[in-house]
Parts: sequence; C-alpha cells; structure tokens
Amino acid sequence: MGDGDADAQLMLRYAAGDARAFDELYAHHRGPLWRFIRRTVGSAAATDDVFQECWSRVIAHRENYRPEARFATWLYRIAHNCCMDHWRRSKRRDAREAADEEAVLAAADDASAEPLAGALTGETHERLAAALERLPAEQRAAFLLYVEGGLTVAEIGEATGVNAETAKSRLRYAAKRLRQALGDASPD
Amino acid sequence: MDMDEKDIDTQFSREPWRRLLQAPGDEPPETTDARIRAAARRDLAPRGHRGWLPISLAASFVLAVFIVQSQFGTLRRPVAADSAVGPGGAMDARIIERERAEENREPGRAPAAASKRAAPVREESQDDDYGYEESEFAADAAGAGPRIGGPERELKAASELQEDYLADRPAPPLESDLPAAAAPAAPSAERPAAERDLGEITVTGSRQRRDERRSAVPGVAAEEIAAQGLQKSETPPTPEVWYAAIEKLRADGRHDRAKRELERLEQAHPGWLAKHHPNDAPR
Repeated sequence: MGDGDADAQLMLRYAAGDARAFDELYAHHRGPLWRFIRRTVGSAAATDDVFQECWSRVIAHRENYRPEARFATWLYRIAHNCCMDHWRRSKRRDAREAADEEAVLAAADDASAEPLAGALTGETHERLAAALERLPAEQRAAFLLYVEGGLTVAEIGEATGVNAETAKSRLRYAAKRLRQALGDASPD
Repeated sequence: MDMDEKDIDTQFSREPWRRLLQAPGDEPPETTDARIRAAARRDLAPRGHRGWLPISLAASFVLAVFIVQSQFGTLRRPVAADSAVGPGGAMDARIIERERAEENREPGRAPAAASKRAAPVREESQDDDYGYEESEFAADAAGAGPRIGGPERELKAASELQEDYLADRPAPPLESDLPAAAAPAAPSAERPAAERDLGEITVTGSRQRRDERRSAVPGVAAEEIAAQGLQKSETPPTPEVWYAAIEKLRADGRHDRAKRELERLEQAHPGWLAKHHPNDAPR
C-alpha cells in the first residue's frame, strides 16, 4: 500500500493546488492506464478519447477524492466506467460480449472453443493482443485491471461493481483462455 | 491480502503478462499528454478567482443602476434648480435683470406690464432663447433635433410658464414686487388658458411636465426666467444669464455645446469670463 499511499498523497497535493503533483501522478499511471483502455476499447482513436475523458474526470473530481481506497482503485474505477460509457455510446458490444457469464465460462472450459492458437501468427505480443480482444469484456477488464492496474481481486470487484468472487472467477477464466491462446509462448 | 489473492497470484503472475502486453509506442501520444497536463493546470488556475465573478457582476449592476439613475435625474431636474445652485452668476443675473426691468417700466404701470409689453416680441423670436437667430438653441427649439428634454425645452417651457405662473401664484415673500403686480395686470384673454392649465383639460406630457415644474420651481427662479424673457427680445442676454445657461448645459452633460456657448460669450463680452470665471476663460 506504500505505493498507493504515495499516489494518494500526490492526488491530495494536486487537489490542494499543486500542479507538479499531478504531473508526477500522471507520469506514474499514464502508460498502464493507456494500455488498459487500449485493450478494453480496441481502436486507437477511441482509446485517446476515453483516456482523456478519464483524466478529465480525475481533474474535475479532485476535490471529492478521499484516500479511503488506493488511488489506483479510484483511477481504474473511473477508467472502467469511461470504457463502459464508451461501449454504450458506440453500441459496439456484440453478442459474444453480451452473453451471460455461464455461457462464457462454459466456452472457456471447452478446449475446442480455442481457435486462436492456430490462427494467430507473429509476435507473442500480437497474439496476446488478439486473444485479449476476443475475451469477453468482463474477463478482459478483470485481466487488465489485474495486470496493468495492479489491482487486487477485491479492488477489481470494487472497480467493476461485482463481488470479489465474481471478479476472481473472471480473472481465472481470462488467464486460462489467454494461456490457451498463447500455447507455449505463455509467460507462466 | 487474503487467501484468494494469494491463490491468484501464485497461479497468475502479473509481471510476465505486463511485459508481454507492453509494446513500443503503446503509450499516449505527446499531444494527449500535453493536453491533459494543460487541463490540469487550467482547472487549478481559476480557483482563486472564482469569488471575483459574483463581485464583478454585482459591481457592474450597481454601476449600471447608478448611471441610469443619474441620467434620469438629470433629465427630470428642474431648470431653476441648476440656476439656483450655480456659482453665483444666476443670482446676480436675476438682480441685474430685475433692475433693468424696473428701468424699462413705464411710470404708473405694474412690472408685469413691462413683461406683457415684451411678450409679443418674444413670441416672434421665441425659437431663440437668447435672441440670436443663429443660435443653436433656436435650431433645437425649432425642431431640428429629436431631443425630448434638455435645457432649451425647459427654458422655453419655463418662459411660457411665466405668465400664468405669475398670474396664479401669490407674490413670493422675498421678492414680491414683480409677481405681486403681475397678477392684476394679466390680460383677461389669457386667464382662461391659465385656468385650463390647472387641470380642467386632459393633461398631456408636456403639460404634465410643466405642472410638475410649476410645483417644483421656486418663486425666485420663475422671476429669473421672467427677467430673461423680458430682455431676450430687446437686448442680448447678460453674461450672467448666458453663463447660467452654459452651466445648465454642463449639468446636463452637453459639454460640447457649453464650450461653444462659452466661446460665443467670450466673443460677445470679451474679458468677462476672465474676470468672473477665470477657470472658463479662454487660454
């Protein structure tokens, strides 16, 4: 929590009028947050819009910030909400992403439902990116919040509005599908 | 960190996946960075000045109300009020004009008779309050401009007022000679008009203003105006009267015309301004 506390202090300093604190905070989170949004919304143009919208909300709500939770939890909850707003606006959620949780979990357990390993070529990074894009939105968000945001399972549940068990389940199935997609290139 | 998170962490390590996700250039563009940082600073900047907005709005409102009130008060200010508050020239002019009226009065006739004798002449040239045909006042009174109020109209209305005013009102306690004698000397033909003025007929805007002025103008001011009317057709106005009218123009904010009248006054009475009002004398 030491890192989170440092971010919270930076945010409090910014809320008090210290612009340099914001620069430091922004430099710390810009890359991971950008990648989280990039993998969540897909297109680069939409990523830029959602990224700016996210930071705009941080700026606008700085006076309401209370260090009751880690700053990263607060930041990624805002980012997650921005991504959801983007999806609602663009109406680009397909039927796969709108499927209920059980259907997604069943598909993840089925080894025959893993078409990516043979289809993806090139760098492992690209295969991972493609696999991520094929994940259900909830699982992808849980995975990215865990990896890029550094959030715990409980914080993922808090950021996405579900309980910790659901968050844990989403994360587990996301990891399983990504491992299947990468095959031997899986990092763990 | 509870047991569930430990389980996740042991099965699912962050760092290898994070390294795998990172790609060169997979970061926000510099323009986006600059835009966000600028927005953060911009949002901080006006915080200290937010209180000035309602204050400045309130100050603007108060200033607007003050300007409207001062302008409205200037338009409605009675002509005699300015004459009375002048630097002394108006009072002097009244005394001098009354003395001249006394000199012009025929033996055995009331002072008002002298004004009646001068009245027809004044009607011929009543467009010019100073008796000068080229006067700008004359052009205004003849309808050249769209002015509604102003010193010319007030002076004209006041000069029209003098006859029935002198006929209706009792003599003022301080200067009783002129108005007291004017009452019996008023022509009978004009008496009904004066009575109608007092409310029998529909009160028009100008008539209403005249009535207001009648109730607002003190007796001494009406005498001053009467003296002006007496003299205007016979001789040019005295510098005191002229200067009083110029001050009235200034009070109404018509400084350009006041300046021109000052120049004309200086031409008509060289040195008078330097002697009595050195601040207004041409340099």
